[in-house]
Parts: sequence; structure tokens; C-alpha cells
Amino acid sequence: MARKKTEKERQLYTLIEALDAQTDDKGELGSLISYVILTSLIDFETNTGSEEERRFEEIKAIYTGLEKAIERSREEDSYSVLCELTTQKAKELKQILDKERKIENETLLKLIINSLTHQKNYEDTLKRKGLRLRDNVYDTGILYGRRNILRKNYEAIRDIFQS
Amino acid sequence: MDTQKYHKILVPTPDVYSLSGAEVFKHLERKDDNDKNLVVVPSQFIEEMEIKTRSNSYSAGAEDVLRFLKETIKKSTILKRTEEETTLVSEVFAGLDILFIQTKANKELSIESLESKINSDNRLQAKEKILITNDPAKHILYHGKGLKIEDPQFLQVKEDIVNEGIIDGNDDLYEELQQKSSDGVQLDEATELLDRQLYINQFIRFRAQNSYQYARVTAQLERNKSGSRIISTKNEKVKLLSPQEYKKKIAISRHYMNDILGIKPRDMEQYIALEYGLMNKNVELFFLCGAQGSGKTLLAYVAAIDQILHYDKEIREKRGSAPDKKSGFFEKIVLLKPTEIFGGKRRDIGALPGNLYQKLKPHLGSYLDAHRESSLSKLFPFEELLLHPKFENDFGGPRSENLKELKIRGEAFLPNNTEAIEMTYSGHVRGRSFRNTLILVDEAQNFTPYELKTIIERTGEGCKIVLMGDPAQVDNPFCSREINGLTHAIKQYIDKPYSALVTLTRNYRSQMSEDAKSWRVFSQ
Repeated sequence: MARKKTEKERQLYTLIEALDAQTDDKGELGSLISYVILTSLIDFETNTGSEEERRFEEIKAIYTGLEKAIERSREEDSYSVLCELTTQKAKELKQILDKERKIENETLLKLIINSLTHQKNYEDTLKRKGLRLRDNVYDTGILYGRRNILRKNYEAIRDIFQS
Repeated sequence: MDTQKYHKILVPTPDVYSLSGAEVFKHLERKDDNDKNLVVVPSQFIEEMEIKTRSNSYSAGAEDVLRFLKETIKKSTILKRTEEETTLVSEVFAGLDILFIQTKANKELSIESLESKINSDNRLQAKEKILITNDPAKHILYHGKGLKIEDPQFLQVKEDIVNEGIIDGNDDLYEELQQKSSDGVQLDEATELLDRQLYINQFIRFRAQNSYQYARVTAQLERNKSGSRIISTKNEKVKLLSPQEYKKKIAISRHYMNDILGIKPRDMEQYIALEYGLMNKNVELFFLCGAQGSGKTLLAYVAAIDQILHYDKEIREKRGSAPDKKSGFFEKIVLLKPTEIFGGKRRDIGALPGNLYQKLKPHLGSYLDAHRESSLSKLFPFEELLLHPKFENDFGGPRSENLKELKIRGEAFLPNNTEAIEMTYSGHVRGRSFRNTLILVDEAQNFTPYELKTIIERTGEGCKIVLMGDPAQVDNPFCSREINGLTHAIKQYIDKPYSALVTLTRNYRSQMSEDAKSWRVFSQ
């Protein structure tokens, strides 16, 4: 008799682990994680729900972004995915960083952008923050409880990108 | 003594002294003309340090502090003397006094009693009273018991510093580099474009269309007459690596090699580590970081052996060494390991049975593996490299007769006047000094900052040190990711024109080895 499968909740740990498996170069992985987070948030829009619900939606958008990156890395390779992400969103990112495009609400994107503004070489910062997020997520391990996961994952991203 | 108002009263615990040596007092000095700090040294801490020193366990920093305090107490004045206790104070710097609290021997120290002593003495007043410790047990024991407890922040270095060797660059600099091509971009301009400080021998990686491109910060080095010191640098530039370099062929001057003793760089970072760090004569201090399985030891080992070989005259000419002098770039290799670590307890190797080789062999696994992977393994076993060519030494010997005539790669011999490799451990380094030696220091993250400082101090003329490690793999209970010799040394030396740093970010071990990193000791 086949054992019943227990599915782990969707979370940064499993997603980053899956992306890690597709990427040999750890520096590249760091950049990829950060760019997936940034690009997922650039596309994200919601004005409904409580602040916590909005935060949860932001994290879910990042999960989706990571899933797409994993899938695309399987089809091609992680380097192509990174190049694609950076070129696709380069213009929008620059507009945001140059304050030509305003971010209305106090979102995770705004927080990340604030930490990058005035940095001419944010590429290196993003690589390092991505690696720190990976280490943090691995150190913490698998999380349990739907809301707990979303909350802890949000806090992990916020704390690392804010510092 | 009149009432002395201090800015801060600080109580560093013995682990802090062991990590940093007497340097710690300079950090704790108040740098303000009108104010000073007070460091409190209870006699129990002195006893703890003395025990460490006597058992030769993790003692170098503590020993240094004891010597310093011995001189300090000579200049002290007695504040109070009772049957139970004597307190003495001494000014060590303009901004720092040290208070010695001498209590009866074997009297245990409690943080409450220490705090009440400080508080009850009206002559000692301060805005803040802080216990400084890196010892997790002391944090747990003393938390919430009065004194504020802090980590020794002045000893902390972000582990992220290992990423400084190869940084990611931006499009602006890459475009500029492409335009200027072989001329390169002036360092000032590159610094402006990246808006950050750049160091000589640093690499910058760019995402180009199909693959990563690398640029290097270069400079002309001006040396003193004897050539032993770099006195200035000029013409600092950032230059893209040439397209040929992506073939990863190693060049020492005009001596081109597809591999070094059978080992080829597997990626660009390994190539950079070999070509611009390990085999680069101008780099005298090289940091090679990376996770387990990234190839640090293998690369360092083959590069080191290659540089002690006595090549034929024609090759010596090509390699840029004196063709008339039958020698390698270095006379020999010293392999240096931290003092052993067993089950979390650190103890001196002298306590173990057997001769030096038997004691050290279990800790040479990574070098034995590197030897097996290299082409040398087909010629002779690793042990032969430890033997003197003519005499017996601690490891036996002399070296096998047939190795005298053995030609490596058909163009080089093992050194015929000394052992190729000397093994030692950190406990044996004090009192030594090295000349024309290539020193390989493995697991540098397991040395305390003070230990590594004393090792680097031992290097003499013509030496090169390769420090290998990974701050994520600290096994020494007294070190941490933030406080260890490796990251401290990087911080200290990264801006020196004779140093370089490469972190290997690719792992060449199995998937299960990778997975073991996130292994959690839970059943579910």
C-alpha cells in the first residue's frame, strides 16, 4: 500500500531549496533570489484586505515568482533566467529607483527599494541579500502553520532587505 | 582617590581576552579627552586565564593579556584593602583605567556580587556597567541579573566579507570597460561608477549576454630596492580579462600549463584563484574561501607543490625565476592546522599518544585526498613529501632513493635539500619564524583572531600565506561566524596590495553532501 503523501506547505525554505538545486553558482543564486523577489513585487498589486492580508498576498506573489523561476531554470538554465529577469524589469526597476515611478503604499517593495536607493551598484547588494536570505531560511528550517509561514517569511525578507 | 566618574564600567570575561589578546584594551579605551572608561578584572578571571595558559588550551590571547596586566598592576595604587578583598586601580591609557579586584583564592565569582561591589564603591560611578562576553553560557547565566550583557561587538566582522573578493558590477562600469577595452578604466572612475571602495586584486563580475565576464583591479607595484616590500602603487585600473583567459589555462610568466599536477580549474572562480592568487608571486597573502567541496584544498595543494618544485633551467627562465638558481619559488611548504578539536573541547595535541605524524595524520585527510586526486599519487605516496631527502626526521626517512632522480611532468624535481612539506599546528608556531616558505593554513575560521595574528607575525622574507576557510563551518566553540581569525584577517588585510581574496561558490560534492548542510536532527 502506498504511503499517504504529506505535502509541505508552500514556503521560502522549499522554494529556495528547489531553486538552489537548479543553480550551481551560489552567487548567481543570491542574485536570482533577490531579483525574483523584486520582480514579483513590481508586478504585484492589491489594495484590499487588512495590512496583514496584504503582506500575505505579497509573500504569495513571491512564492509564485520563485515557482516560475524554478520551472524556467529547469527548462533552460538559471543564468538565462537571471538575465531574463534583469532585462525584462530593468526599465521599471530603474524608474522606481530613480523615483520616477512612485510606490503608493508602505509595501515590501517600497522597503526594499528604500534600502537600494542611492546605491549605484545595487547588483552586488542584491546578490548578498539573496544569499543572506537563503542562509537565514536554511538556518530556520521548515516552518509549520499557514499563517505562521507567511508571517515568518515576510519578516525574514523584510529584516534582511531592511538591514 | 576622589570619586571618579567613568563613562562606562566594562567587565570583559576571559573568553574575550583569549580571542583578542591585550589589543582588547585599546578597543575599550574611551577616545574622549574629558572622559574615560574603567575595565574591571576580578581575580577569578585571572585564575581562569591562568588555568587556560597552564593547560595550554586556547591560551595565546589569555597569555598576552596576563603579561599586559602584570605590567599594569605594577603601576597601580591601592584603593581599598580589607581582610577579604583588595582593590587596586591603574591608568593604562589616557582614556582607560583598570580596576583589579583581588578576593580570597577559590572564592567563586557571582555577577551579583561583582555588581554590588561596583555599585557600593562610591568612587566608581558610570553611566553604564557592561559585562562583555562571547561565551553563550555566560550570556545565559548572567542575563537579567543586573549588569548589562553585550557581545564583544568590536571583535565582530560580518561573515559577508568573504564576498568582497569577487563582487558583482553594474552595467555602467561594464559599458565603460568595453569601450576602453585593453586600456582599462582608471580606478577612480570605476570607484565613482560603482560608488564603493575597490581594492587591488579584487575582481568584478558582470552579467554579459551569454556568460559572466570578469574584470580585475590592477596596479603597478613599486618595491623597495631589495624587492621585499611594496612601497607604493601606481596606475591603478580596472581591466576586463582577455577572452583567452576564459579557456582557463594557467600562465606563470611565459610558462603555460593546461593543468597543475593533473588538476584543471573547473570554473572561472577556480581559475582566478589559481592564476591571480595561488600562483601569483605578487600576492603574498591569499584568502581562499568556500564551502566544503568547492575545491579550496585541492587547488591550494597542487599550486603549492608546483611552486616548490625545482624546474629545469629552461622552464625556470620561462617562469621568471633566476635560471641559475636551482630552486622553486619557495623552499618548502608548511601545512598549519588549528590545535585539535575533540567533541567541542579544545586541547593541545601534545596530550595525544604517538609521534607528530601519527598525531597529525587524522587531520590531514583533505591533503591526502588532494594528493590522491593529483598526478603525484601515481609517482609516490603523500608521506614521502614529509621526509627529508638525506636525513631522518620526526616522520621517519630519509626520502626514498628512487625519488632523487624522479622527474615530475618530465621537467621538475622535488627539492633535494629539505622536506617538501612540514606539518605543524598552531600550538607549535610560537617561537618559530619562516623564510621562503609557503604556508597553507586550513580551517582558518577555527583560529581565534589573536592566534591568526601571531601566525601571520611569524612570516619572514619570501613567504606566502594561503588562508583557507569558511566562516559557516566554525567548529571552535570559542569562535563564531562573526568572530573568527579568518574574517578578522580579511578585514585587516583586504586593502593591502599584496593580498587577494577569492571565494569559491560552486560545490563539487554530491547532492547528498549538499543536503547534509540542512540536515536537522529531528525524527520528523
